[in-house]
Amino acid sequence: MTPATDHELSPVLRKQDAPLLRVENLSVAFHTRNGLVRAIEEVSFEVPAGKVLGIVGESGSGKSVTALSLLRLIPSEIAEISSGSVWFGGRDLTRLSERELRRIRGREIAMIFQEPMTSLNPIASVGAQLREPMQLHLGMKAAEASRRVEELLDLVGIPQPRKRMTQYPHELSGGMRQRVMIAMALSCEPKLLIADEPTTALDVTTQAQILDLLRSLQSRLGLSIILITHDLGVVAQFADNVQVMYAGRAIEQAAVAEIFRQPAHPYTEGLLKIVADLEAECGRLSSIEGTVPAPHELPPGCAFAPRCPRSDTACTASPPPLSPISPGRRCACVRPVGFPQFRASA
Amino acid sequence: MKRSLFGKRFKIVLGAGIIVAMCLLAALAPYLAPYDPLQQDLLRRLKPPFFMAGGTAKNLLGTDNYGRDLLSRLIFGTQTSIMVGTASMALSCILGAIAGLIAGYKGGRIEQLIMRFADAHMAFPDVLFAIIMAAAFGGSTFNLILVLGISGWMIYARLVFGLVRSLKHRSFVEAAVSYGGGDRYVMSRHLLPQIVPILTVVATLQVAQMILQEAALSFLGLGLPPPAPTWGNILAEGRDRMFGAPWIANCAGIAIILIVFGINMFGNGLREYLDPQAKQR
Amino acid sequence: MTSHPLVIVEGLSKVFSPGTKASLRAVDNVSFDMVRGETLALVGESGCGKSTTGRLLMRLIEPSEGRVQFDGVDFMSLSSKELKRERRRLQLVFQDPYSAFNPRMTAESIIAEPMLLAGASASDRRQRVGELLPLVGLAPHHASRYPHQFSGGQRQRIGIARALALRPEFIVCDEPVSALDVSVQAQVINLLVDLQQKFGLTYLFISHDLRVVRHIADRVAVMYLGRIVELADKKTLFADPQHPYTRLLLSAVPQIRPTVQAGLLRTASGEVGTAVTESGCRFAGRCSHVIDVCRSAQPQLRPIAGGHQVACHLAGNVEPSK
Repeated sequence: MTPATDHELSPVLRKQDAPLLRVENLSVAFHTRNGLVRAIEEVSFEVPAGKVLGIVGESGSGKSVTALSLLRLIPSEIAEISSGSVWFGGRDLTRLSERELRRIRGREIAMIFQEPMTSLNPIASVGAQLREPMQLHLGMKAAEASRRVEELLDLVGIPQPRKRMTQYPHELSGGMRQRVMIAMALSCEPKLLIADEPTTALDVTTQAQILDLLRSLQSRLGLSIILITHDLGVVAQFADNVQVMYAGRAIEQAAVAEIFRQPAHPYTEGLLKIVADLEAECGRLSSIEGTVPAPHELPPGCAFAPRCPRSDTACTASPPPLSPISPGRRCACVRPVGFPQFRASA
Repeated sequence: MKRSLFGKRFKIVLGAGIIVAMCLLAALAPYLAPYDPLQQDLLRRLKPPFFMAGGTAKNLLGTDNYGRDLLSRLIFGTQTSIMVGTASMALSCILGAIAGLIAGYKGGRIEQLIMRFADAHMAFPDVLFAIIMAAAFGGSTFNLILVLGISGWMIYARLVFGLVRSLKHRSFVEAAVSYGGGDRYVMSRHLLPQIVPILTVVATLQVAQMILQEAALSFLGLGLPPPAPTWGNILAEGRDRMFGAPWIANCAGIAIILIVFGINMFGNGLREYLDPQAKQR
Repeated sequence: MTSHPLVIVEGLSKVFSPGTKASLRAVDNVSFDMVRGETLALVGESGCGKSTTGRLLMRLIEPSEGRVQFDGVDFMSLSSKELKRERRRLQLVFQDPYSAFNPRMTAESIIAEPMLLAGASASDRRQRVGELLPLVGLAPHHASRYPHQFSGGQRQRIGIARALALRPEFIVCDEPVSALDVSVQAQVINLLVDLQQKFGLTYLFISHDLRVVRHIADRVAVMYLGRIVELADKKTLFADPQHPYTRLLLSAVPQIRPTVQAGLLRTASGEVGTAVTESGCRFAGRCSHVIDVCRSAQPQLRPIAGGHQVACHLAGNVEPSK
């Protein structure tokens, strides 16, 4: 194994890369019958320009809520941002008016979702749907927009773009629909693409094609991407940096190569062991016992403590903060795996 | 967030209150009614209610063309209305639910047969059916229930059919089949319990429809023959004297409106209560 | 292992809505054997007919053609009453733990349902549920709860307990862990392996996830559009895949330790179902090794080495593209 260069190791910390997006202490709470319930708590991260940040977590980890909250896409009756800020292009997105935010959505920050069929209008042709944002946001004429749509469809690897433009979403396969969604997301040349489980609903061979496409687009267009996924394999192949989330908190942040070499948080370690065991065909899978606690019954200390093999009394007092453990790495654990010299101060 | 004018609890309580009051009225009719509803007193014809000029406390809501006490007739009419309404609802609900269950679960030829028959029946006018029945068997409470019950089954059949068709693809149905569960077992144990809440709501609202229909048929002379005290009959009698004695038709009309309102309130409240999506609001 | 197969599947086919425009050959001439105690995995992408095959085997869907023999009993010749009795020896574990249970039944009545239908008495049922709950890692007090009060992993445990209630010999696991989170997946897989060892169960493990299959299976059958394109023991299949589709599938799995093969073998274009020809190989339209015969003749599943069967005209001759 070649030693990782400083550039690969810690792009997050390098001062000259002014981050494209910086999230600071973001907390989001849901309105429920039993009052406010925290969905994510004090989440902070950065996305440097031209990099891919993978946010990994299981169901209930808050990874999707994080993604949706960046653009305030959760209706205010359902959830509210209780604290924190989202810095993008010198502005705090949490303080913008709905009108100002609408100019950023789709234009500077675009999103793609897990199930493209629900995001596409079933009764409008692919071409018409793709033209709309360009005519709306960029003030293009219909003919010009049509030309651009053709270019875009070509860009996302759709053969015979002219023919596809006249088709309707139900006439396309799942992979083609996701390509259309990507084309739509790219139509206004955004700087940041948020991809929320973009390949989860797809077959594995199609998933590989879509990931290949996203990767080539990312390098060609210099896009920054936030990739939300539950699949560590996808992160390993696709992301530059990773944030692992558990029960609404970011518990570990690191460069991809680092985290797979030596996970620091016991939860990350447990997940990686399972996947590694699967790949290694070993006899019995290591497993993480128990389940993710529900948001309204979180323990007072570290949310992972009840399932953690390393937990002790220090873990049950208060949730450990996400603290730096080595250059470019942060971990929310009092005794991270493989970093014996580090001990979080309470 | 918009709040509806009435909360669901208020609707249920108000609706249930009206319904319970009406049922008590029907059950205790012989004790509550001041007079025999059929007893004529030709000397006291067309007396107005007590609050109008010429009215007396002797006949609180006045008398009709034959000098019969309207209040008593209304109270006894409640019996017929509630009985006919609930019995015909039950009949059509049972018929329709069974037909819909079988059609939805079995599919194929049986589905075609049942659902096309339902479509055909939808196109067939109820009134014509009522006329045929009345001509063939005469007017009786039993015939009235039969006519109303049979002419209402298609609504339930369609509702249940649609629900069952989506439910039967759920894995628990397949699981039950794989353990050797027969058609009757799967339908009664797994399908019916899922649709009962929705069925209850529709059936409740349907009682109001049936009461209206009973009144309409009696009004047209296809229900119970006069002098039986039903709200429809009272309404029909009042029609001829709409200007001379408006209270006859009005009091029957108000009674019908009141019970239909109560049932609809109750039904809608129940729907909001049982509907999980409405619950979140 | 002994030579007596527990299950023999021969030429199994299912045509949905035959004779119409929408006629679909969902499963086409599928044959395999299984010996007692082994796990055969059926792998494939959506629409490959793997779930239908599992149900055809249990005769939950009536096959259009073919034969299924279970422990010497010809399933196709059974009357519906006999079938109901014989089928108790085979059970099904479902994918979606959310729709697999009647939401209005408690865990106890869910687990006891197969016994109820088999005519067991109430006290026997109660006792067996009491045995089954700890066996699948649930507590006695879970018996009176409803499905929505359980987590996804716990629900799958209930599903497994229900499948075990009648002490079956053979279980069709239809994507049993696909809907679960990784950490919970591992728990359920371990449980399935433990139970297999404890009771000598035979599994037909249906999955789209090659990682899980690689862990749990003894032999693997890869399906593409209704046909088995490759069947081999696990080691052979993962080490020496012969069918171009198998290679595509293997190379597409995102791995946390990227190996050399990843990325290099993505030779095929298009998606499942694109460019299917009537007469030839169903994969021909996407295959980069395609030759003339692939478009005209459908390749049959044929052995190329002990137990390794491939349905490809070029099997044994295809070099991995560099």
